[in-house]
Formats: sequence, structure tokens, C-alpha cells
Amino acid sequence: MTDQLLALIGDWGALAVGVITFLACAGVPIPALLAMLAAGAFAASGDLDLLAVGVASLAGALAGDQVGYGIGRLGRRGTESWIHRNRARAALFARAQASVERRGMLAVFLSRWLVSALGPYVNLLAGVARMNWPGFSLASLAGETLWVGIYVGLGYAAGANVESVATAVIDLSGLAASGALTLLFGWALWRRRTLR
Amino acid sequence: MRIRYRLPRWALITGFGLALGFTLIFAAKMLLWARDERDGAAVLPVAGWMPIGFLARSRDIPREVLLEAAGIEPGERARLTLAGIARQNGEPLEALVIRIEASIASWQARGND
Repeated sequence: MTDQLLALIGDWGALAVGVITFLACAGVPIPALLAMLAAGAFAASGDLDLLAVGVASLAGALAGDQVGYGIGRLGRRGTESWIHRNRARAALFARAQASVERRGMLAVFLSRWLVSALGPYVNLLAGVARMNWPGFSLASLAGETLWVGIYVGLGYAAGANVESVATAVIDLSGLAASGALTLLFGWALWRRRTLR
Repeated sequence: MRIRYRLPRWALITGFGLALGFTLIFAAKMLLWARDERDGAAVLPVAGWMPIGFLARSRDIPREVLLEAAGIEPGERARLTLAGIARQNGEPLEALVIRIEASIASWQARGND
């Protein structure tokens, strides 16, 4: 699949990278990091235009985020009566919504680039919790700009060594996501023990 | 009214164990990568996904040398990958790769002059 993905980027250029980041941010499991790294490397060798790659990647990512958020909001609308049928459940959702309003922008921003594997789920949750749309969009724009800048820039800097760098970057991204989850579960276990 | 939603303890422990396992696997892969890099990164073999410019850069060869070997005039649809060029030429990819490899070897044998 990797060779086919790279060939797609070589033949279709920025358009292919834009479609790939769109699908990845909308929740389709597709290696967007590898695509951006490769496109950056192809730009360094003069095969693609760096600005076009950056703009297409960013546009695709932002559109993908909006799709995930929209699906979350639609899903919430469809389950509204189910939520309010039970007082405890309604109170739980109200708390979740208040929490998203307080810390949602930071969560959206960090899940774009630091733990990008969690990004599509955060989009859905933000939609379900009815996070305000301008706040979501602003955090998405800031985070995705950083995400695209980091990976396209790394690919550009890596140049011909892109395959080796890609292996490391993808592993590093996995390490960041699993490390964050380890801390989260560890914190929850520790908190439960101290509250007992 | 304060509602607290709690995952069962077994779910937290399972989640923690799985996340920790993945963290250790990724950390080990990073260490292996660092060791391989220290020993020197391998040059990628010529492959169909490579655009001409990328291949030229990875072999430190002028793009024009590879364009000529691929039968493409300079400036003419040079962005295509080797697989795309082979399709355009109506020839098997393997034949194009052999020609490209020969031109790389010939350029390197001439001492990059």
C-alpha cells in the first residue's frame, strides 16, 4: 500500500495529498503523515510545488475536521430525545458540554498535531458535545497549520532520506498517542485510588 | 446534583496495560531506528513510485541524465513517477528501471563529470 500511496502522490501531486489529509481527518485510517512527508520530500527534489502541497494538505485537513464535527452534531441531534429521557444522562451530557466549552479548544488544538491519531475522535466528540463552531474552527486551523507545517517541513528537510525519516516519525507519532493514553489511564486509576 | 461517570476498574487496568504495551513497542522501534541510522541509512532501490527528480536527488545525479534515460525531453511532464513514465512510454516498468539503473551506473563510473 505504501508504494501505491507514494506513486499516487508522485503522479497526482498536491491534489492527492489534499484528498488523503481530508480522508484521514474525517476518520478514514489512511497514512496521512507518510503522504505529507513524501510530498515534502518530492517538493525538495523539485517534483512538486511546496506551497501547493502545503495549501492542499491544510485545506484537506480543515475540511476533514469539519466533516467529523458535522457528523458529531448530526448524531447528537438524532439522540437528543434519548439523552433527555433520563435525568442522570441529561446531567452527564450537560457536564460534558460545559467541560468541552472550558477546555475544548485546547483539546482540539493538541489533538491536531501532538496526538494526531486522536484527532478524528475529538472532532466527533466536539460535535456531539456541541462545542461552539467558531472556537472549534479556530483551534482546528491553528492545530492543522502546525501539523501540516511539521510533517511537510520534515519531509522537505529529509529529502532523499524520507523513507527512513518517515519510519521514525510514524513511530514517534504512535509513541506520543500511546504515551498520552497511558498517562490518561494511569491518572484515572490513581485518582480512583485516592478518592476511595 | 453531581453525576460521576466511572469506567469499571478492570476496563481502566486493561486500557492502561494496552496503552503501556504500545508505548513500549513504539519506544523499542524508535531505539532500533536510531541504531540503524547510526550504522548508516541504506540507499533506496529504484522503484516505480519514485519521481525522476527524487531519484536524481537521492543518487546525487543531474535530473537531465535520468530524463534522457527515460526518453523524456527536459521540461516535458517531468513530474511523473517511473511507473507513470513506463505507462506513458507503453513499456514494462522493469525495462525502464533497468535502463535507469544503467544510466546511474554509467554516470557514477564516469566520476560525475
